[in-house]
Amino acid sequence: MKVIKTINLTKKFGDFIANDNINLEIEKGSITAIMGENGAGKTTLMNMFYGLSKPTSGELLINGKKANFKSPQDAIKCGLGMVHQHFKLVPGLTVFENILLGTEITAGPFIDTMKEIKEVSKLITEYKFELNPKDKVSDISIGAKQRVEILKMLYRKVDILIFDEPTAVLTPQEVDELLQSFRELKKQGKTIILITHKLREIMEVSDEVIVIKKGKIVGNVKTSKTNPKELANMMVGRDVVLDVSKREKDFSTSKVLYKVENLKTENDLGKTVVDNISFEIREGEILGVCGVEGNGQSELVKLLTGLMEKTEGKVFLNGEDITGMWPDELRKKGLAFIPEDRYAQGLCRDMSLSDNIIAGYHSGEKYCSFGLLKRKEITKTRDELIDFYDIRISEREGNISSLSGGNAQKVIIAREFDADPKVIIASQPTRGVDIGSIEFIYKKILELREKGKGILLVSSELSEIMSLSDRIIVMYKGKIVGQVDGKTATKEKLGLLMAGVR
Amino acid sequence: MSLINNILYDTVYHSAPLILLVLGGIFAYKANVLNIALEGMMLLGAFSSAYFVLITKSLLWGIIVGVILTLILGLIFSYFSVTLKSNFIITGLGINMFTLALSGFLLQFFSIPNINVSSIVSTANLKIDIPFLKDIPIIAPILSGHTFLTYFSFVCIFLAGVLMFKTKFGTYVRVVGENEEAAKSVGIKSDRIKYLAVLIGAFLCALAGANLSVERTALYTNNMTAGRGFIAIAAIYCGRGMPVKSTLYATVFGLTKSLSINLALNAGPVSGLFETVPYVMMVIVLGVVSAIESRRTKLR
Repeated sequence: MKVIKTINLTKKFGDFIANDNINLEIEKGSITAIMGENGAGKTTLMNMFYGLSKPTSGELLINGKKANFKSPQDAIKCGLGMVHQHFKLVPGLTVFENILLGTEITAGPFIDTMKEIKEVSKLITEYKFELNPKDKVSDISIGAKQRVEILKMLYRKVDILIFDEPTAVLTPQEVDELLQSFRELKKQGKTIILITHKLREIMEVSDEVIVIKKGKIVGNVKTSKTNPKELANMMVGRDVVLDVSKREKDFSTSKVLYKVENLKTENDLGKTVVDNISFEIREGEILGVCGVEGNGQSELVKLLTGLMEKTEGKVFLNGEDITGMWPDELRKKGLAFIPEDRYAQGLCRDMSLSDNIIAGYHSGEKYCSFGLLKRKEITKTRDELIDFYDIRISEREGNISSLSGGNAQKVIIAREFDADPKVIIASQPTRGVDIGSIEFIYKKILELREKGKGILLVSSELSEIMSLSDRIIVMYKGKIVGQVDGKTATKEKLGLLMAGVR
Repeated sequence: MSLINNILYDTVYHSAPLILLVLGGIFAYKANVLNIALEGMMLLGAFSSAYFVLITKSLLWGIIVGVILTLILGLIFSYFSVTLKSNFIITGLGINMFTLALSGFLLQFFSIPNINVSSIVSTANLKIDIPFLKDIPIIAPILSGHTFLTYFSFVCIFLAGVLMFKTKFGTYVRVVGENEEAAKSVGIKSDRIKYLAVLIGAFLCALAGANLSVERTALYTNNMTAGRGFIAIAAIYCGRGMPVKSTLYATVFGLTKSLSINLALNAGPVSGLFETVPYVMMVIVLGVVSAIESRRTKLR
């Protein structure tokens, strides 16, 4: 039976056609992957499924009946639920309170907490999830938060689950757990729609793949009858080479560019989260930092980018002490940053693309004279970078908030790389970015390496760390627990170190 | 001994309206619409209840009309700041200035220096002695012999705690404040929650005003709230909107008010200076509390 069927579904934003006559069918109890580049129209399509926006023309049939959703609540009532990329959870509430939010079980005027916990525990065991209903959501990992979102939908008796780039924020281990959950959900008869551009996941769990490019369906194949190369080709329109080949280098005689000595800091609770970290980066070297999320990598990056204060230790650039400098001072010294959370630290959502593309460099001579911004110069840079970095935007004068996640990331990459820095601190540079752009970012990073820049690469994608880094350090509980040569690193070796086994 | 007794009795006496204000403010605070108009709402409550006691010749009807008028003011505030999405700080500021100007104007208009309702309301008769409690030495002169709204304000601490943490409404208030998107995504009507949170505030502000004017002194004088609404906001901030913690800070301010009044009696020519104590205290407490909270933060 077809649970979802669309007939010539079209969505226009003004003159821009986001979805162009989409015709698709989704089988009950199957896992369908919808893939496409950033801005191809996947999210627009799903928003129509979920009642967040209305189609301009065409029809959507759920279980054979014409659906006309006015809000997500209508969609949920119809058995269709969505797990968003950015979770809609309340951090101050517990797991069970979040799951039952809006449908609380009451006894008289009061909430029946005991019964709520029992209900949620039942649900957790039924779907074999690992969760404690009484934990506060602010204290649990990102993977666990996602499980809360899934349960929120399952509690509302949803049969069709849409996942919007669910693995973009997960660690490799959490991805495996999520894929396992998908199989379990499928076994229980749920239909899953997976929006993603990660080929590995698609090949591993999906039954069918629908490829969208520029708002149109360009491919619809059984997963068993295709391969990653063919899919990547369909999505990008050409062959994609992600296997990075880099020139072998001997660093023993290269100059030390960036040096960190015994760096230490603690969090609000007084716990040491970065513990005695020392490393150096030589000219033209890429130093990878990996570890399970929450082992001090974020804090290390915050320290190095001037967002956090150290308790002990020193940082040197070219032998000059730059410890404790603020981000603008660091940028002037020749550092560039790609922050972990692009919206929290990298971009200002409510400001224009041109403002964002010079942010951090706005007081330099290039864009500013006598305290006034040179608008012409800024517009010129903006247009150059949009073209050069292939940033897809419908309106050049528009705000950053109108860009898709991957394109927003490209804005940061364009800004930081264009500044011609000596050292780049890159945290999760390809998180949530499509494969074509990943290829591009890798190429750019390697170009900088060739130019003799120093690069610190922090990433939770092991394959990324392994293929790019010359040397890899592994963090566990705030300490460096091991150093591995980039050439000889294996997933197993890094995995053990990440788990704290020396 | 009697000085200490007086100080403690007055602490309860002066804390009561502050507690009502704080409890009125925490729901809006938790729902992320900081109600800076507590001051103005209290002033309207004080003015209108006194005036309508004079008109209706009835304490109860005067207070009821005062409450209704303040609720209407609360509706105006929420209509502007929630429905029309104007900046609620500016809106609140406007309401504070409006009520102060209106009450001052009306006094001028009626050509009276203040509203005296002592012929209708006998403040001595409004003091309630609590059975059993009134016979216990030491405590009796402090806790007994207060007015109804004073006792009610302390009961409200408990009621507000239950409402905030044990009911759907309280949960929704916190959810709307913490993550409005999450609330909307499960179909919670967040605007309605914000309206209710502000209206609870308006209701309690009106009672605080009535307590201050008619119930305690049977007299309304111009601008008699004297910044209590802002002291309450400071208490809410220090207590992070938690009912018990915030009211504890309210009593700290009640204590300083009581100290300033009782000590000023013996201070001679500098007695006027003592009136600044609660306000100076407010600045100090706010500074200390936030310094303690950010002490460990290494984030810039």
